[in-house]
Amino acid sequence: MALWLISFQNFKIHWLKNLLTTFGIVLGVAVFFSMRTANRSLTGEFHKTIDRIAGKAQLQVTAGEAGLPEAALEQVQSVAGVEIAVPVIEAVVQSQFGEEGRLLLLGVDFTGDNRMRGYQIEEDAGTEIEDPLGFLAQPDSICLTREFAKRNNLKLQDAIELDTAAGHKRFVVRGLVTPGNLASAFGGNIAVMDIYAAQFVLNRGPKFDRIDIALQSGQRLDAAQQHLQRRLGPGLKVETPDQRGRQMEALTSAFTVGLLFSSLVALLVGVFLIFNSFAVAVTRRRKDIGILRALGATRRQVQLLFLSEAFFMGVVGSVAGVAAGWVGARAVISFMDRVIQGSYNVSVRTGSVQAEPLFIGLSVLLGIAASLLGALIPARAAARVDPVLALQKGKHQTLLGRETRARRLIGGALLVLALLLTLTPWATRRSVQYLNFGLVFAGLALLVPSLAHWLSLALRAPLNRLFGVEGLLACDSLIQAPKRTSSTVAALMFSLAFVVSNSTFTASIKQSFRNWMQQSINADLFVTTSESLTSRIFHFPASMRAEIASIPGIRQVDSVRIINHDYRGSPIMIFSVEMESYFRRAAFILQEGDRQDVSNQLTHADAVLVSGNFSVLYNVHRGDRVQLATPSGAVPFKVAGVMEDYSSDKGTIAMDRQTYVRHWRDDRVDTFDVMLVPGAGPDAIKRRILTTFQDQKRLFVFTNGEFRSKILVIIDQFFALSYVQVIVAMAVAVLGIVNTLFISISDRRRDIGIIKVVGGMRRQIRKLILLEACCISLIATLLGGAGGAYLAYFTNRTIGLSLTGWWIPYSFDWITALLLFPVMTGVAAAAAWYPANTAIGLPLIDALGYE
Amino acid sequence: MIELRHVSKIFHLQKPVVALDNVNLAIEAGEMVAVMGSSGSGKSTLLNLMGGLDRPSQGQVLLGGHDLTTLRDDALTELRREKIGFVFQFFNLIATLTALQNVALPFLLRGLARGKSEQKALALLELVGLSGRSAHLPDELSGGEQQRVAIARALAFYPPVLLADEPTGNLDSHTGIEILTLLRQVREQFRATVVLVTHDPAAAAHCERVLHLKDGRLLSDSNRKF
Ligand SMILES: Nc1ncnc2c1ncn2[C@@H]1O[C@H](COP(=O)(O)OP(=O)(O)OP(=O)(O)O)[C@@H](O)[C@H]1O
Ligand SMILES: [Mg+2]
Repeated sequence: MALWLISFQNFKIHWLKNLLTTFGIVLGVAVFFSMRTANRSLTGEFHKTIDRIAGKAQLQVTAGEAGLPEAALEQVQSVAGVEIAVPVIEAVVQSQFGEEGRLLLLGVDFTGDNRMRGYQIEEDAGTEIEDPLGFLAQPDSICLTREFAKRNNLKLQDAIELDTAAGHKRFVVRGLVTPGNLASAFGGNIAVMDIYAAQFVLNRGPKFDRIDIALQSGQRLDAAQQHLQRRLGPGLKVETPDQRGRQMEALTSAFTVGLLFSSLVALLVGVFLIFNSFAVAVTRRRKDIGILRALGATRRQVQLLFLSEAFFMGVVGSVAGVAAGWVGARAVISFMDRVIQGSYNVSVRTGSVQAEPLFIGLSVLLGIAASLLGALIPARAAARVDPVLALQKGKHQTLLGRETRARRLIGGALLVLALLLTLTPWATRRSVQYLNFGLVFAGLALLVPSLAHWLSLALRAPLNRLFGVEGLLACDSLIQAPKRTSSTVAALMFSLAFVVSNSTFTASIKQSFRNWMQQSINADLFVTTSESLTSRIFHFPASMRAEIASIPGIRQVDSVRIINHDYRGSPIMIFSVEMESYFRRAAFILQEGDRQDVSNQLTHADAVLVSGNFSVLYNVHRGDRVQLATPSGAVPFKVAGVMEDYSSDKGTIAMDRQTYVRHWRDDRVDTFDVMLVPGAGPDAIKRRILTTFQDQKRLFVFTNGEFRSKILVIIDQFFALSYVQVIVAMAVAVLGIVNTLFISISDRRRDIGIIKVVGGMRRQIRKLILLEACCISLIATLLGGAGGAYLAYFTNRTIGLSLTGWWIPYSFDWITALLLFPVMTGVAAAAAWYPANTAIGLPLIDALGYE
Repeated sequence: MIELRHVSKIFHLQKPVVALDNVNLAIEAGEMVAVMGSSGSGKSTLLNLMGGLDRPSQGQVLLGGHDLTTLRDDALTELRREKIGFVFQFFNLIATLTALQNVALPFLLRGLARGKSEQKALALLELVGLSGRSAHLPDELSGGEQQRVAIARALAFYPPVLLADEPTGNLDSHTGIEILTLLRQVREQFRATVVLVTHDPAAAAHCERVLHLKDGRLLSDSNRKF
């Protein structure tokens, strides 16, 4: 079609503008694509690892983090239809090879397991061993994959050092797993050892993590699963490897929602950039359009011309976005991996980025749709161009942006509607939240021209006083050209609102965390098995409590055990401690229940304390019962009270240690909370504990201050993701202002030329343009701050509440909001600098246009 | 007042275009000169060089004794402020500013206070007979009215030189005559030198001297006196 030649010429001349505009789509699609892809790759990899390690196992029996008692193995083996049932212990341990040396350690019973996983183990050919598998079962034997051995220059009979419950221990490589399904799991970082050795190394006690089951041939899987589950009771869980892989999705759900929002904001801003760029282009190309129409082009054809340009930009932007997203996904994966490992103690070794073709297609379509959406109104305006008016020089036809009153009313109505929706009982529904989000953004978009106009009016006098005539002219130009200003303001406002709301949301939560920590974390010393506090691979035996207590200067020791527990498909936290003494020392806040009464109930009955967010998430209150599947069966625990608690975003249940040990049959300890006698120095006692257990235990001792700052680091890590969102939003904001200012300034070369002709000096013009840019950013930051304050409130009350159950007191992040002013003003000035100078430097006759 | 010495202007596009070819010319203070010639003959180029909007490829342009070719950008602007008023065929008003604001612009740019600038602008609009439309945007004015606003703006500091490129080219003949009358009036009132590019012999008839350009050369110079 001949019309496309026009588009092509246009792209050629305005390539930089178009590139900047297309970049909005690139960014939106890239964020959207990378977040989902990272999530998918992570869960996919998790599935794959489970799958590869499962071997022939069709069903797997687990009992949560507390583990299965050894007796369960015989119970499972005795069930009809079970061909093989073998125990497994699985943990990620650190070897001496650093980050790349993390190994997924499998403890197995070699004799039985060989039938399940069919090891191809290569042993030392030189030595004749009578009982090869027995040889491997020696407590210091370990098998590695050939790939891992090669990577780290290990041969058979070499030693490898692992972090164990008993400190660093040396193992001898006595076998190499030849490449195959198992060896390729977890990136090849697999180590296999005897299960009893593993129990010892990890201090698991007489427990297994899992029993893998292969069924006799001819057994139907689902029937066998139901049968087994019935026979084993609710305390044990029977799942297929595939079902077990799904737990990962529950863990990443919080991230997914947050990231979806930030990618939508990025796309929305992309829509605005396209809109702005096309609106300007339609005005600029008004004459061309007039000529085309005069030459017989129909309105439809004109509209199609612009839409096909938008389509082209959408395709280019989306494809580039997917490519950029692919690269971004890699970074997001390793980041998410770390957060998940830190927060939920689940480890994934990620290989490559995996994306389904369907999703790639969807991302591209989304980008194209955004581009077309942005171009739709300008394209229709182009179709309305009156050829007579367009060809008459010096005559302008108002193409866009009328009906201000109606727009204002609709915009206001949408905002009010959104506010009302927040107050309704449906506000916690995800669909209503998306709707609400949409309403707020649409309402603001409609109100922006009016708001920007009023703010420019308000700025006029102060700017004149501060900057003289240039301030005045800058303001006048803003007031008189609301169309030009609005899209810049809108694009910037949205991204800044997102920045402010995100940082406010995060700041609010962190503030609550800190207050809570102040009250509840009050032991003098903490003895833990892991340096990062989060890993719960290793445990202390219960007997250690007495050993610590016997150290002089120590008044009291409490044993804390924390496990993740599957409750209705979500990994809630179960926290257990000697409640009586905990109640005496910790100043936590009870939202429901009386301290004395709760303490009594907890220590004398099967009663629990639930966290405030658990109470909200599952609508559970004092006097209700929560049914938990414990290894000794399902137990209906009575809820004695509700406490304010921020230890898990999935909800926490606290109980007395006795209650936990009795039902979970697990007396191991994660952390000893140590209280000192008055006057004892924490540092001295810390050293005493360390020397007492030196060389026999893997342990770390933290003072109260150290422990708190460790926790703050973990919290920071958890929220690092919202900083990623803030960075994305900032990038969008910067892109938005660079793009729109570039376009608007380049498009005003003629005006700039006129000012010069009537006596404007270079520095005056530069000052004027920069001031105008700064004003736009000032207005956008003001509006963005206000919008962000509302959005944060909304996020807090609805999305945050429905995801985490936390009622977070709102505390506006003034620091970020105020910092945005100098930062964005600087960005605006910098963004305006180049196009301003180009426009000023242009020879006058070119600027005025050669007629 | 204005003097061109051996002025040539060559535009380098795909191939060089000679817009002006060795033009020599002197215009005295207070003269009213028409420049005529067919399309593409170099009239606008000539005017732009006189006003310092463009620089010659060769030769010198002198304005009130200053050699424009040696002045830097800001110095040229300074000179324009003092000496030159411009009127364009397509008015070249700033679309987002009202008539009053457009006229006030030169005053504001010279650092006059807002009130003072607007007061002076209003007086000028009155002079061109448009004081009633001061709050209108250019789009809301007719072509003749826009051109009068442009003239009012060009008169801001009563410049000794007024350069007008086809000021009536875009107007009907009646309005055109009005504008020409206005220019003559201005010239007489302020003793300005007026150079006027036009295609229209009737417009040229308002001038005492007519220059003819053809293919960038000065073909004839009437030096006709009333
Ligand atoms: N900015 C420019 N770039 C390239 N060529 C130019 C430029 N300005 C003028 N020319 C060329 O110089 C020559 C003279 O142009 P000029 O505009 O001075 O003619 P004119 O007499 O004003 O014509 P018109 O009556 O159509 O306005 C023309 O051939 C034109 O193509
Ligand atoms: Mg011309």
